[in-house]
Amino acid sequence: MRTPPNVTATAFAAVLSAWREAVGPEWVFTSDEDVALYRDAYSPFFGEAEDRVASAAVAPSTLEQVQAVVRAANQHQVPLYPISTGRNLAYGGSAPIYSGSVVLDLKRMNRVLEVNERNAYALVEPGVSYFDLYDHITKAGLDVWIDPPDPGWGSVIGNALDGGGGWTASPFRDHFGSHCGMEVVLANGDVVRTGMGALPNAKSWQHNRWGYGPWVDGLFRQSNFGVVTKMGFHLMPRPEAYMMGTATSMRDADIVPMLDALNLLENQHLVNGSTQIFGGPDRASGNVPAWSIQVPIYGPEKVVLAQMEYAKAKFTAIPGVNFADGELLRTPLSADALKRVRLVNFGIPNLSTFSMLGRSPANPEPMGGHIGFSPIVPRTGEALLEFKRFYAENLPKVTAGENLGIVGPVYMTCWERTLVCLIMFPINRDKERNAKIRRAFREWVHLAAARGWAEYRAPAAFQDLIADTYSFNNHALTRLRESIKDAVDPNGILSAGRYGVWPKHLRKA
Amino acid sequence: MTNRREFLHAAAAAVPAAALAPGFTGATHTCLRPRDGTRAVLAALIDPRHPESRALARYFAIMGESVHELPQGDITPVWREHLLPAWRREPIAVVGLTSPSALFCLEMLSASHGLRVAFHAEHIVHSDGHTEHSLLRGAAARVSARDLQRADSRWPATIARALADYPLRSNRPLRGPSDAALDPALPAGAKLVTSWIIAAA
Repeated sequence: MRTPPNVTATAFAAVLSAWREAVGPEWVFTSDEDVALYRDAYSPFFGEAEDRVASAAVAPSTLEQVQAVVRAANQHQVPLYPISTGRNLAYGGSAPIYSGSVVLDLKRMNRVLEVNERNAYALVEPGVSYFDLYDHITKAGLDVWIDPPDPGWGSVIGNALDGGGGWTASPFRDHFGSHCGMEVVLANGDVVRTGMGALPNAKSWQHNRWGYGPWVDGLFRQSNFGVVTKMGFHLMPRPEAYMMGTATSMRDADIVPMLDALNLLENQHLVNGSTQIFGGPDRASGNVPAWSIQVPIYGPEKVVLAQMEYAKAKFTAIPGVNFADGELLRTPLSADALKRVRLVNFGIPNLSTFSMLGRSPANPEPMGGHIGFSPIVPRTGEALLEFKRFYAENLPKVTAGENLGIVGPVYMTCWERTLVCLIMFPINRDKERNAKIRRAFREWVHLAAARGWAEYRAPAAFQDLIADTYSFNNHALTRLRESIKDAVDPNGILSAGRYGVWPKHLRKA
Repeated sequence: MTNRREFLHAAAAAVPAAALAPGFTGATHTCLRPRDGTRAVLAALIDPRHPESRALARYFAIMGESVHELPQGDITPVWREHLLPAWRREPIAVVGLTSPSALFCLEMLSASHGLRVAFHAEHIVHSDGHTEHSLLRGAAARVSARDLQRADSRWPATIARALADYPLRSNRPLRGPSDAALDPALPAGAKLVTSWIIAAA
C-alpha cells in the first residue's frame, strides 16, 4: 500500500480508520488493483515514472460523509483529490495532479435532487452523469433539455467545474456559465451554499445566480478551493424547431467579413446554436470551399425561419459568399430524424465519438488517445487567419520535421464571444513518441503565449506550464489565487497543483 | 422476416466446414454454459466494420449465443439497452472482438458494477492482410499468440473458441485497468482490433 507524500504511515493509518468509520470499510480502497483504476487514461507519461498515481481512494455517499472525510484528511494533512465521475479524458482523468494524493471519489453521490420544468432548472450531485440526468428527465416526461458534451458519460458538475462546453443553444452550452448556485465543503469541513442558497429556507437558489455581495462561485471553477457537493443548472425548455444553414466561400480572406456577420448575429442572439467553422490550409480546391460556417438556430418554427432568413441575408451580402438552407426539424425528433442528426445537438448524450477513435477503412488516420492545446484567440477573421498561418509555419519547427500525427487547427465556438483554436496531439504507448509530443506541446504553448494566446483548459501534465503564461504584473493572478488558497485551505489538502495553484508547503521558491 | 439469430445461423451454415476451427460443433463451451446451467456470458459484441469481428459473430452464432452489433462501432445503444440493465442486476460477463476504444469504454463503464477485463488480446492487421497477435491479459486462456499466428486467416475462429472456453468461474485476483485506452505504435496502413472478456472481478 502506498502512503501519500509527506504523510507518515501512522497518520495515514489513523485517517484510513477514520474514513472506514465514516463511509464504511467497503468504500475505502487501498489495494493496488482498486487504486490503479484511478488513472489518466490518456496520460502523455504512460508507463513512465512521472505518470501520476493515487495512493488510495475513498468514496462517500452523503454530504455528512464528505465533511467527515475532509475533516479527517485536514487533521492529518493528507492530500485529497476530489473527482466526480472520473471521466475527464484528455485533461487528467481520475489521477491526482499531486501524485500520491488520495482520490475523493464522489461517484456515489449520484442523486438528481430536483428538476423543475416550470422554471427550467436542475439541482444535482457530483456523481450524476449527463446520461443519468437525461434518463431522469425522460422518465419523468419533462419538457426540458440538457446540454451534453461529447462524449456524454461525464459528470454534469465535473464538466461544468472544469470549464467544459456542449452542443445545443447558448447560453446552455457554456456549462459553468449556465450553473446557478452551489454547495461546497471547505477544507475545514465547513459547508457553504452560494448565491441565494446562503439564505436558510431559500426558495430561489436555482433562480437567481448572484445572490448578495461578492460572488464566490467562480472561485470553484478549475480550482482547488473546495469540494462541490451540489450544483444547480439552468436548462433549456425544449425548442419547437431547429434549422441549420451553411455559409461558404471559396476565398480565404472572406472569413473576415463572414466572422463579423456571425458575431453580429450571435451577439444579437439571433443565431443561438453551436456554430462550426471549417477551414484549413489551402482547402479551396475543386468544390471544397475555403471556409464553411454552420449556422444553427433553435426556437419556435416561425421565429427560426425568420431569423434564418435574416442570417442568410447578412452572409449573402458579402460578395462571393453562398448560403445553403438546411432542413427544418421539429422536436421531438422523429425516429428517422434521430438516425440522421448529431444527437448532442438535440440534448441527447451518447458515446459515438469513441467509435471515431479507432482505425478503420473509413477512418484511416484516427486520433485515438489524445490531449489538446486549445488557445483562445480574438474572435475575428484576422486572428483566425493569423492562427492558421502560425500553425502552418510552426508545425515543422515544433515537430523537427517529423510527422507526429498532430492535427489542427479545429475551431471551436462553444462559448459566446470566444474562439478557440484547438491543436490535437495523439498519445499512445510509444514512450519515445510521447516524449516528442510533450516537447511539441510545450513549444506550442510558448509560441502561442508570445502572441497573446493562451489555453482555456489544460491537460493535467501541463497545468503549471499554462498557469505560467498568465504572467501579467509578475504573475499577480497566481499570487492572488495563492493568497486565497492559503486562507481557505491552509494545510493545502485539496487538489494540490490543480490549474497551477499549489499550497504553501509545496510551492517552488 | 428472418430475425437476427436466424440470419446469423444461416450465414454460419454457409461457411464451409473446412473453414471452421475444430470444436465448433455447437457443443457446450465451459465459459458460456457452466455445468450448473447458469448463463455466464451475456453476449458477444462485434464491430461490423471489421471482417474479423463479423467472423467472430458467425462462430458465436453457431454456438447459439447472443451477438450484438455495435452500429458504426458505437457502444451506446448496446450498453444502454442491454449491458447496463443487466449489470445493474449482476456482474455478468461480456466478450467481444472490437476496436480498442469500445473495450476502453466498456471497461470504464463496467468497473463500478464490479467487472474487470479478464482477457485482452490485440491483433494488428497489416495492409497486406497478415496479422500480428499479442496476448496482454488472461493467462488462463487456452490459446497463445503462436496458436493465433498458426491459425493464419482463421484466427477469429481460434479466438472465438478461446473466449468461449475461458474459465470465468475460477477464483482469480482483481486486476487493474487494461491497456485498451492507448494504442501501441501501429505501422502505416495497419489497424488494431482487440478481443476481450469483461467479467466479474
